[in-house]
Amino acid sequence: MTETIRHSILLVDDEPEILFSLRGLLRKEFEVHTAQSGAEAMNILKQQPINVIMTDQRMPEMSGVQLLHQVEGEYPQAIRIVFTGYADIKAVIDAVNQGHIYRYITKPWDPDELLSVLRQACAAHDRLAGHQRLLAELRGYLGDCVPLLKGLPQQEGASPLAARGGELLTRLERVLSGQDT
Amino acid sequence: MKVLIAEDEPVSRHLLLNYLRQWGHQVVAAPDGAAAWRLFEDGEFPLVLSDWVMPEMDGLELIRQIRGRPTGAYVYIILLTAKAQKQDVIEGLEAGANDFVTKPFDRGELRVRVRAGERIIELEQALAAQNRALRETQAALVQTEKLASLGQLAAGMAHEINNPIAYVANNLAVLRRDVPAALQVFDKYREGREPLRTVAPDLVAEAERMEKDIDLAYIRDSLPRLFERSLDGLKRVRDIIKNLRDFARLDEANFKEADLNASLQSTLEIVGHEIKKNAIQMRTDFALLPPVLCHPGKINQVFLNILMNAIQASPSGAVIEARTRVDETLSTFGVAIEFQDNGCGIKPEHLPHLFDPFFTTKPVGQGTGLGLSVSYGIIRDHGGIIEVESAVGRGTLFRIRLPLRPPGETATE
Repeated sequence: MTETIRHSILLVDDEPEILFSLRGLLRKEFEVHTAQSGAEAMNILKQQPINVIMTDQRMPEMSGVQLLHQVEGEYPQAIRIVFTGYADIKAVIDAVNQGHIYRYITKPWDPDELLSVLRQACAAHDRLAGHQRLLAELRGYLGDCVPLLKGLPQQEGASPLAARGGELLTRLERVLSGQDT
Repeated sequence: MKVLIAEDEPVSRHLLLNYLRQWGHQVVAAPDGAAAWRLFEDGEFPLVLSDWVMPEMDGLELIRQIRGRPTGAYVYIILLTAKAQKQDVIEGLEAGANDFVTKPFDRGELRVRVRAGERIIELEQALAAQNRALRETQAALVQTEKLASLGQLAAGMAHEINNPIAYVANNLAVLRRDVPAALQVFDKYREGREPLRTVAPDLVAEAERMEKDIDLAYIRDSLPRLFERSLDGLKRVRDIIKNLRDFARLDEANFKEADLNASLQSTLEIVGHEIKKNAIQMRTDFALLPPVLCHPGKINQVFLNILMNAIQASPSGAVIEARTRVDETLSTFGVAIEFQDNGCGIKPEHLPHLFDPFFTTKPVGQGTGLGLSVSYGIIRDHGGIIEVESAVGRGTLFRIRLPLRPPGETATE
């Protein structure tokens, strides 16, 4: 059987029993990291590559939505999920609708549903990571094109190809420098 | 009003009787203080006209007895007597008389003094009624406060309960996965039992004895059931908590779009215990309803009120039906929710007073008489109406009509 690399999941909850329980459920399929606060979570993110982060909403000091806001800024590749009981649902729904959070899961959760959501989150992570890689590759190719185009002969009344080449070169340089999207 | 006369002199007594009857009162007369006291104890007399000098018990003693009563409605007492000295007046009023008329008395004077007494009595009765109403409003407010804080308590508790329920359920799911897996390893070892027996017979014998002692077969059989049933039990707890929260709907203080079928369903589950206790057969007939802009917590309160009334009016084993449908009788499109019971019905003379504040047919102390009047107000605030149809001995139908949006209200999210 081929060695599949397991996705890494960071669980954040101020209740240790929840973390222990979730580790039991997820340990076979995922590489599980746990944190009991937002601050601890940010520490772990500094040290480990994390694919999916799932946090409780109601925590002292930093709420789940606040934590994920920070995570979005510093580690945009991590897929963000929040747990919630009913009382906090408005804040959470807003965050989901504004696109900052991938999903929310109610407490108590259905274990099979939770596994399904996490698998989907990992797939979303992989797609996102795939896109980033593709973009990076394309940039590379485009970058390689620049010297080629620069090498084309530039003269008065030159062929349409050369003229076109000049246009492309300017555009390329703009794109690569990040001025165009 | 009812008037008590205590006068030993027969002519005076008859005179007083006639005068007061002419003035439109129900009069009872006694020939002495003791008889008057007995009559007073038995009846409610707001007005008493008493002579002073009488056999058995004199007027002052009668007055003191009356005033000495710890509770009861206000009594206006006019002392009639030939005694006319200032000192007598003082003594009479001191004993508790409201007024003093000297004999021989003038008809006109007696009439105006009785009328003065009537005015005082009316004022006192109005005051007493207002006090009662105030006390009951206060009790109702305290009750509402209690319910509100109970609701908040329940909501807070619900959140506290969510966490342990969550990890217990999750732990069970993990056990359900891992224990059979562990048993599979164990089974693998058991496959080697026969070869092992040749090398370590004592070990195998002891293992087999242990298996028998714990009844391993039973354990293996019952394990799946244990896990499934535990998980089901937790689901039930989770649903109860969800119902409590849906019912209280404390998160939403504003108007919100609600599915009234779901609201009604969660209310039905809240009164589930009452329904079972009275062996009521609850039937529902829900049509597909559009979302209604409303204050869901308050609408649930109305449902709860009407349902509890229906349950309390129904004999054991009776049927109560809850129906919902789309409705077009109001000036705008809306919904109708009906509660039909086959209980004792409402007397026709009570029907016009049903939604009056403090109106209740329950015995004193049970219920504030505010439930239906609060419900009426809530539905009215939503632009709807409540209708009642009832027949004594056959049952009652409550119908709530609600527009899809209250007049002038837009969703505040």
